[in-house]
Amino acid sequence: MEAFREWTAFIFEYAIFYYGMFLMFSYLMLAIFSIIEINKYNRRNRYINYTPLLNSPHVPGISVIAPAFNEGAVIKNGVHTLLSLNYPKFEVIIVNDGSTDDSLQQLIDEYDLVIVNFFYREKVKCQPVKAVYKSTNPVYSKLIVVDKENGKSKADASNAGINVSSYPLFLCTDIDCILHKDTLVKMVKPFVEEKTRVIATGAVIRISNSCEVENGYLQKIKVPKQYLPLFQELEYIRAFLLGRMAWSKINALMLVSGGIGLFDKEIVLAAGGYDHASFGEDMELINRMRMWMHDNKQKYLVTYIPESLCYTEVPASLNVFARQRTRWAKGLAQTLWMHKKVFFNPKYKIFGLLTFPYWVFFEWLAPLIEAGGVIYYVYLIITGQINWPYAIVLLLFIYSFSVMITLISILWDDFAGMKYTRKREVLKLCLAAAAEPFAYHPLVLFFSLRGNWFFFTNKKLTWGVMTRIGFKKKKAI
Amino acid sequence: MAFFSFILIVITLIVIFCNRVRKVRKEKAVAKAEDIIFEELSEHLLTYDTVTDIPEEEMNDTVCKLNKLKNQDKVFRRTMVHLMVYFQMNLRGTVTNIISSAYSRLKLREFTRGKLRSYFWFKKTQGLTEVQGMRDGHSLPEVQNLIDDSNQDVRVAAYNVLLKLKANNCFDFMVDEKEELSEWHQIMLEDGVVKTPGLEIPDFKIYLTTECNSIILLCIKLIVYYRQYNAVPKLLSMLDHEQEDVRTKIIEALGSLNSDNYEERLIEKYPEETIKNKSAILIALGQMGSTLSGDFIKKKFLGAKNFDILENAAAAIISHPGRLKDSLTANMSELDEKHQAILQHFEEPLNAYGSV
Amino acid sequence: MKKRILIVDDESLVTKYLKARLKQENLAVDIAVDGQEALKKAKNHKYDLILTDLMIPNVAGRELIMQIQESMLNAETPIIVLSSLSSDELIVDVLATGVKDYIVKPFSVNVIVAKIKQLLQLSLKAA
Repeated sequence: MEAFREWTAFIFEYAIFYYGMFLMFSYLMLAIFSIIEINKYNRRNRYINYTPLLNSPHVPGISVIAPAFNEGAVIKNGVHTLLSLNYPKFEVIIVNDGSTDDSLQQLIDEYDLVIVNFFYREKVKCQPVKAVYKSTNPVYSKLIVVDKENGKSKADASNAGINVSSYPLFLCTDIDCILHKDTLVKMVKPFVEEKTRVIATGAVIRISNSCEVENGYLQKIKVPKQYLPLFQELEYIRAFLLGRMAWSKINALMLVSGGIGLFDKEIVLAAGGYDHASFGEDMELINRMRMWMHDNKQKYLVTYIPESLCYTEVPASLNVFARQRTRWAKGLAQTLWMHKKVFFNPKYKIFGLLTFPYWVFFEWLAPLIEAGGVIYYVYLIITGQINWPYAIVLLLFIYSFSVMITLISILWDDFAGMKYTRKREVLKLCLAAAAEPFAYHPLVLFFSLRGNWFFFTNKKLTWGVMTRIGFKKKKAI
Repeated sequence: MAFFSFILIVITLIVIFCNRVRKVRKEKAVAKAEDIIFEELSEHLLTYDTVTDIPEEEMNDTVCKLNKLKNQDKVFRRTMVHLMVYFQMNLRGTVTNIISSAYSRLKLREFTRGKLRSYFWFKKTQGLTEVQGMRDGHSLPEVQNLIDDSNQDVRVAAYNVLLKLKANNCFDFMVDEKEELSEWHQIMLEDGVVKTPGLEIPDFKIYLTTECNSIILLCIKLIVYYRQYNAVPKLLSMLDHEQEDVRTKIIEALGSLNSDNYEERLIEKYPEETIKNKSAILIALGQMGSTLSGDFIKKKFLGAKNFDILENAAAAIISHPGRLKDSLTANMSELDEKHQAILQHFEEPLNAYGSV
Repeated sequence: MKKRILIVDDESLVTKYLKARLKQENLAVDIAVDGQEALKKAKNHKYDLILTDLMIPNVAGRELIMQIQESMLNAETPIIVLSSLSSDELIVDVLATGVKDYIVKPFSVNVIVAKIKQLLQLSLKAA
């Protein structure tokens, strides 16, 4: 018993302490790398004139793929926003994934769709496609609607979109995402600018929950008013601007979000397309693409641009948030387990020796260690063994460090392009950063643990339905 | 350590708010400067059709006012340059001479030249953008100095300026540039060539001997754009190039140019090529209307084992200007289901924007 | 009564200059910076001419043209497209929708003013 107590004390007071130090050091490094990358991007693109690209017949074509399941509230306006993107060579593929509402009929009526003779070739597996529709109105000639049987996942629907696509690149997005009009032009730039082959590019996703949206178009950007979306906004800023920009700098990015990601179709197909059984299909795909490139000894880049090009509605209710975070945690564990051969494998270079282990130790394991730490401290308090001054100082340090990192992300967000015009909105974000460790982080921790529990017990998880407010003009919430 | 974090928190908060205040102030200052300069220009200079129409007194008064503003504040100076470049790039005709005249009289060129001499690559490219926008031939010597810059973005921007200003030997970069250009650079340079009216266009085939593959690709694009049929023999001789991408572009160019005598050579090359280039050959042959190309495409279509070949052969059949499509579709029932379906796909007019 | 023109373009300086120039010709000018605003204005006012860019926020340029042509008040209003997009296929496609002219940027202000005056005269004669 004594030996057990000693070992437990050793683990939590020394090993975990140094683990925490290393984690914090890594955040500082991410902060430094990300600002270097943001500055580099700003300098390169401040005086860019996109007109030559918009007029060139040699730009790579892009297929914009947006799966839709029971999206009747948003589908018409969502398609309008996608068709209004500025780019000389693109198509919009809406995949109706067995909707039981009137999504398909709305599209048929709005866009004068008819079934066409379309040679459907299944390059990656997915549920059967029933019909392919195109518009008889030449103004909507870029639109293709694919009607298929429900595949119970976004991955399956995305694969159907890939099978139908004509162009060498595809942009994966959600029908409820509001994309900036220059999304395609800005995201294609790394593909045409880099001399090493770029296989995927991501951009920053922001939250549209309290923004003024009219007919699917963003009129005014506002900080979320509701509690859950507000904290999620902080999380997104930190993840995208700090985390992903930094990883992109050293070509070690392991995740390009499904909300907005531009991919090289040839490599996606070679890697096998999306895995419909995965709950973290976006991360899982990038892993497989990276592995394929290494296995075939090809140089490549996965890049990120620090521009807020996509606005999406995030869960405002606890139920939906719980489902989403549980799914993400399960997806993360599933992906890491599936590709465990990458772990510390020198064959995969920085991906295998740094990124993958980092995600194992500091993304997947972190909630488990944190939960263990909390339990241990509670045990110390109950048994009267706690060293109060030390514990308080340690807690203060962890708290202040996490607030500091979040504030740095908010500052980097300003450097990347001030989205919030009013100072009080930024002040609100800063105050939320101070409250986050108490008011929000415990929820994230709990649902991460739940997701891991689901993974280890092989408990079934469904995608669920995101309750949307939709794109109709919203009064202030 | 906790104390250190708290200090950093306070510093970060201060920086966030100071940065915002600074940015908002700067935006307001720029907007105000823009309004004032725009009003001066539009009410006193741009109301006239040509420079000679402007009374000397009014010109001097306006230049004097703008000079005062320019010397008072660097925000005004930068905004002035930005506005003038903006108008030069968006407008054509005699109004641009008025802008150029004001630019010269205000000696704004000096500030642009200062950027060209900067240590930083992004300052140099900014300066080059301004020279290009203002079509400022007086700054050509400074631009010429930058064609040897160590940064390729600067060099390409300099090449672009030389093209836009129709400088002597503006195509020398096709020989001198040894580093591979990205697609983006090629797009910029192609735009620089084709969007410069009155530029003396050389025979691009003379540059096809370069070792820089991206320059070859750029030349091929320009050969196709300017329909330089005399380059066809040279292109045919390069069908054995070691780089697959170069061969692909050559095949596509031959199809676009659609001149005589290339189909036999392409048919001869076909068996040695990769799937990607075989597909390109079929598409190129589809643009010819001859019986030889038609028979070849038909044979490949009916015997295709690889789907990409089948798909591209079908596309070539539909686009073939001869009677190939009719001969196949007349006997549609003799084709198997797959061949029928794929032909119907390409025949469907609503599918015109894409392949399978 | 003054002729009324709607300019749809998100490039503020160009539209400001055009507006100033057109005001000199005794024309009333409204500006819309995005497609939604343009459609709202077209729904509420009858314009004598509409000058629009294709790369505008919030509605695809060609869709905007189609919706204006289907609107009650402005179905017969002549439309001129003013855009930096210069591909031949696009210009042919857009002209096929029934717009009166397609001018590629950079443009000559004098030429635009002359074309506008000519179209306004024509529509006056037609009326």
